[in-house]
Amino acid sequence: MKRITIDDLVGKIAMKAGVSEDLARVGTLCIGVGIDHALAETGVAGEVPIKTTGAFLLPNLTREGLITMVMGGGPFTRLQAEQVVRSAQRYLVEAIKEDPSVEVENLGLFQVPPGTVDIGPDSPLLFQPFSFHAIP
Amino acid sequence: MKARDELGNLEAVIAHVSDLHFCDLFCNTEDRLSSVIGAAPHYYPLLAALDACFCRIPTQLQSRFALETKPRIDMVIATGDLTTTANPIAFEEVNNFLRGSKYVGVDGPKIGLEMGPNALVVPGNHDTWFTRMGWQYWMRRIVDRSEAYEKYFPKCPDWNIRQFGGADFLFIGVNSNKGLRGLLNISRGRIDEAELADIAHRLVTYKDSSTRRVFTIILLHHHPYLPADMDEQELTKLLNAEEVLRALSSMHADMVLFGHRHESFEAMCPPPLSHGSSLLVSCAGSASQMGERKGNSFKIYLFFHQGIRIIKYTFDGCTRFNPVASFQFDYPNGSPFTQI
Repeated sequence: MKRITIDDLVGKIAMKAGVSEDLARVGTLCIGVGIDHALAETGVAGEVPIKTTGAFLLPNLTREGLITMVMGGGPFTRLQAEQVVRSAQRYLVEAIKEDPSVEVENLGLFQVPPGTVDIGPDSPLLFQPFSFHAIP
Repeated sequence: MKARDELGNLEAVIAHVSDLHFCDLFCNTEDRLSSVIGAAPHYYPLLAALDACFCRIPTQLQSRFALETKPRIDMVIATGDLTTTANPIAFEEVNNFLRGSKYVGVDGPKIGLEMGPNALVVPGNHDTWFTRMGWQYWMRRIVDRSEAYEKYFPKCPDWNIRQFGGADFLFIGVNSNKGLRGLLNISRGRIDEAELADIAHRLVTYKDSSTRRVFTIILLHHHPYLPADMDEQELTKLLNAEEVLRALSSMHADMVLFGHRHESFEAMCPPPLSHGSSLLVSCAGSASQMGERKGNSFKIYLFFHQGIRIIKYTFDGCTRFNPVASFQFDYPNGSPFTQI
């Protein structure tokens, strides 16, 4: 299993999207919050199917939604926000192609479904979010 | 709803958020804003995380306390500093966030708590200071910010009664921003003696006429009390804190909820401040102000038949508000659900 840390994502987004590391970190956190919000809104706590083209996207979370979330979290231009989201998605898909099981820090586990031979541009994936904390 | 908690059945769930600091005017300009007015704006991802957490709380409660059905959050209380600069647009947005349908992001995630009339608020110094600062008093005739607040929220004292589990829960919103006249005491507050006397009089009248147990919760912005292990910040504490606590204890108020201090704490107010009565005080911390160094937090109060649990949620710095601590208090004045 491959593990991607927040710092990995921040570094990759800063490089690919051409933004500072501080801004890339804000964008990364916004993507994480956006996904977690979508999970909570739909009551998803278990495995949910997505696709490689929609990496980070859930049934009730659009690309536009993620871009809005990123723009709301920091001083991004529209273009920068789009690039932040696209960079993160591409990084995840590349990682999935290398290893069928990828864990993203603070987010969850992306997996290629059993029986899948090739990862194409529109392959199905499974996303298992990390469980939330219990009340002490 | 049935619960297998040692405190008996769960009767009510109340959320306490504070110091939301909605501010479109200076959004995303934390450093510049801080240097100009000493306060940062809200942070959009924190609002999304707060909304996500509220969606999960019923499931968490059902699981933790083995409830037969999922409880709902009965009330949300916001104890002031709803905005950073008392901007009319910020008032509209915070009202939408707390009460209206989910609104943030035209094409993006829809964010909001959707509490409608079950969101109670009181004003903080940031919601009024543009009209209260001495050097800007002359501006009141031009731009009266209290009108912007009162366009969405009721004037204080604001009395609200809800019935939970056979008891009357009386929420009294108090404006603690009275008496602010100078720049130096801008972040301090005061509650008028006349207002305290009026509350006491009305409370006695109400209790005398009620056949049910009346559990009284006072809402204000400025902190009237700090635990001994916290730094005393004389520049921010309520100016007449001791007088207020003694008065509230005398009228047998049960809880005081507040914010202002962006740090979560709770305590039984000790004598002699509690004046022989028992008074639970609780500060929520800031739920959504950007760059809060002490961490962003809010609280959930669980009213069980025989006691109260306070659950503290803090932001993990990445994606979620998580429950991190739980405190239990027996009802010193007797259960709110039993007439005494």
